[in-house]
Amino acid sequence: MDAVTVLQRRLSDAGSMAVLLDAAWDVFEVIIAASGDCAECGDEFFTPLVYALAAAADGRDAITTAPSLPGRPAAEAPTSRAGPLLTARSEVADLAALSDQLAVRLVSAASTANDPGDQAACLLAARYALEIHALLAGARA
Amino acid sequence: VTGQPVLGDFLTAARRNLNRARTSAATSAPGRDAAEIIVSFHRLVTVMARHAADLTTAFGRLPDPDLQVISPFARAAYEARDALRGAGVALGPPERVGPLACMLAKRVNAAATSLTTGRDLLQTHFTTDPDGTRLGRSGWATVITSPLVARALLADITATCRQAADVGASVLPAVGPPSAAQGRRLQLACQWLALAGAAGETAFRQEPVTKAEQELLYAIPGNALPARHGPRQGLPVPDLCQALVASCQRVSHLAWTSAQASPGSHFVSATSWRRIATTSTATSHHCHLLLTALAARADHTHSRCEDGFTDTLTRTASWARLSRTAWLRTARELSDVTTDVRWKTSRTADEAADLAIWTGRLAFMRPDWSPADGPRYPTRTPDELVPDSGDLSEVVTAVHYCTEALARLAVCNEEQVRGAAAIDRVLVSARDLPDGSGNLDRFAPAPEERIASLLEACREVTRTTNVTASRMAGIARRIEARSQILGTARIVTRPALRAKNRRAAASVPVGQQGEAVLDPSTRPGPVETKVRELGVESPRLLWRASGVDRLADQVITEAAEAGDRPGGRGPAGRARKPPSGARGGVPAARRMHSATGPARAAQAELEAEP
Repeated sequence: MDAVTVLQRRLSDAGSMAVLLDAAWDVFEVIIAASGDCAECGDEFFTPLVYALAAAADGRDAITTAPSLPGRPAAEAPTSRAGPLLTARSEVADLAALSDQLAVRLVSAASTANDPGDQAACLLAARYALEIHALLAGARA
Repeated sequence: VTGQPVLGDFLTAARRNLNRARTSAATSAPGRDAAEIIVSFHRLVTVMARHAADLTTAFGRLPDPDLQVISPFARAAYEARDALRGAGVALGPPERVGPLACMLAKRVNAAATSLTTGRDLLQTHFTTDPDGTRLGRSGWATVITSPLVARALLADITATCRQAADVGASVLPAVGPPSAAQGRRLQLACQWLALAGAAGETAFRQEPVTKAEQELLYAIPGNALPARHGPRQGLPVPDLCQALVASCQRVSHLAWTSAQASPGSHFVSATSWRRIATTSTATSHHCHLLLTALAARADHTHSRCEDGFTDTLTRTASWARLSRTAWLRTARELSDVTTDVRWKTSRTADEAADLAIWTGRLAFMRPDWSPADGPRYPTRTPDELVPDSGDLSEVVTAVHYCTEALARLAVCNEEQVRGAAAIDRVLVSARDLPDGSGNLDRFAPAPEERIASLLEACREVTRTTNVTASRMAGIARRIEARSQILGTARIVTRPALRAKNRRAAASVPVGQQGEAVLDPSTRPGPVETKVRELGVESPRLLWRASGVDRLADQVITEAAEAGDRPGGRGPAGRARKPPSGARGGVPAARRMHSATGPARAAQAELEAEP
């Protein structure tokens, strides 16, 4: 199972704010790394990937400020890819889908958050997740 | 290039008015004419004396202006200033006259007004801090205070002095015989003007001002930015080029200003750094595409092919690609850190994004190209980009301005990162740190190795963007594009750019103008320091020691520049630290994507080219 699938599942399964924030933090980290790698390797989505890199770092920073974010990762983050090497287009499409899912989950979590700090962090991070999705959505067409 | 007033407009107008004054008729009231002419001449010599006094500050640190060993141009500036002050004294205190009626006086007065406006235009590039130190307010400040541009202005002012002396001599009959008091005053003033006009004559004969230096002097604009126009759709190539140039001028100015910002400023934020790095990655990519298309166009038409023009364009395109790689690496390094101020973008970062869009719309066929489109759309063919060989200059000018703006952005980011790191404003998430679990703070100061890696990436961007801009200057000069003054500005300010304290480089202590001049950017070197330690106070010996230090600096600078070309033994040839993904402290989720890539290998390959 590749990292994106693992993260999608973690987002879906997150039953508490802390678990969701932990997963969201990892999602942004993966997008940062994947955007940088893909931008270095391929030209087709070069610009959107580079722009997504900055948005993901801002989103990660937003999540970091959430009071309910655990002090250390709750889940073991995936350390290697399994399965065949993905093409740039499919990788970008995966990241677009992941950021879309992340935005939806964060907005949903913000609406039920008890802590205003969590709420603000979720909304801000959702904004960056949406920005990433808008940048990368072309790959899904 | 942008139609805004430039210094040349006013210097030329002054000369034109003096030319016209020579043939202007006096009125039928000689006594009144004489008074008006003297008042006009008084205004003229006063403003020229101020110009000359400003110039005395531009030629370096002088322990004693009377020494024989000082630069001939510095001496000329002092001589011109003193002679012009003498002319002012000779003319006496200005009388009160009403509105000027004498056409000749009006012309001289108009020349004085032009020179005053020209000086005011230059002053817009400076400000004074509470300590009385004169500080630059724009990138042009360094150009204005550079010795070569100061020399060009001195040549212009002394030529105007000669012209004014001729005009004064020619109007003497109109103001009465020399025996009359007014005539004597004017005659004496003309002699002083002639003396001022002769200042530095021999030096200028031996080392004449070049055409490029004079063009740069005349091209100095006021410190006012063109209006910001957000990227529009569907513009033809010439309009896109013009809009890009205006945008680049704004970005260059904003970047220069931002680079001077206090490290503690709330305008300094990781969000801005990242946005600048990512948008500049895209802009560099577009410059690469545009230069590649220009090379193909030049090759197709065989224009200038015989002297390697196509090769020059191709190699410059390769440097733009290297800049792209360096910017991307910086963006990745910046994604590892943050600052205490977040999610706020500076104006510099906002407008740097405009550059990416303008260059994208110039490079790609899609009229409404946006970053989300990426490079999937076809690029303009060389013939579409440059339909006629005469259009080459416009596109080269636009790309040249763009590379200069990128170089400024690189310096801006590097300066801000260095300053912020020095006061622990560069942070990482506590979760990134091995002991992060016990840290109650969300963020902690970034580890030293991460700062070092980030700064190394920033330096590499500065280096590659500067080389790209320098190469573009060569191309612009070759085809005499309008942007070639940027190349001249780069040359005349090179030592200042390399100075450690850029802020001080454009500074001159107010109140010492015209006295022994101190250039704060020049601190005593090792030889001068040693001589001072020996208790030597002789200005002559100290000046010689200082000269030895400067010569040594020059040799070191030239040696360093020899390593600036691809394949040279410059910093690029040195071994690099491992990429960020290989460092400790980076989360496991990030380590699954290592930061190594073919781009790094391609860069090394390109830099190894002869």
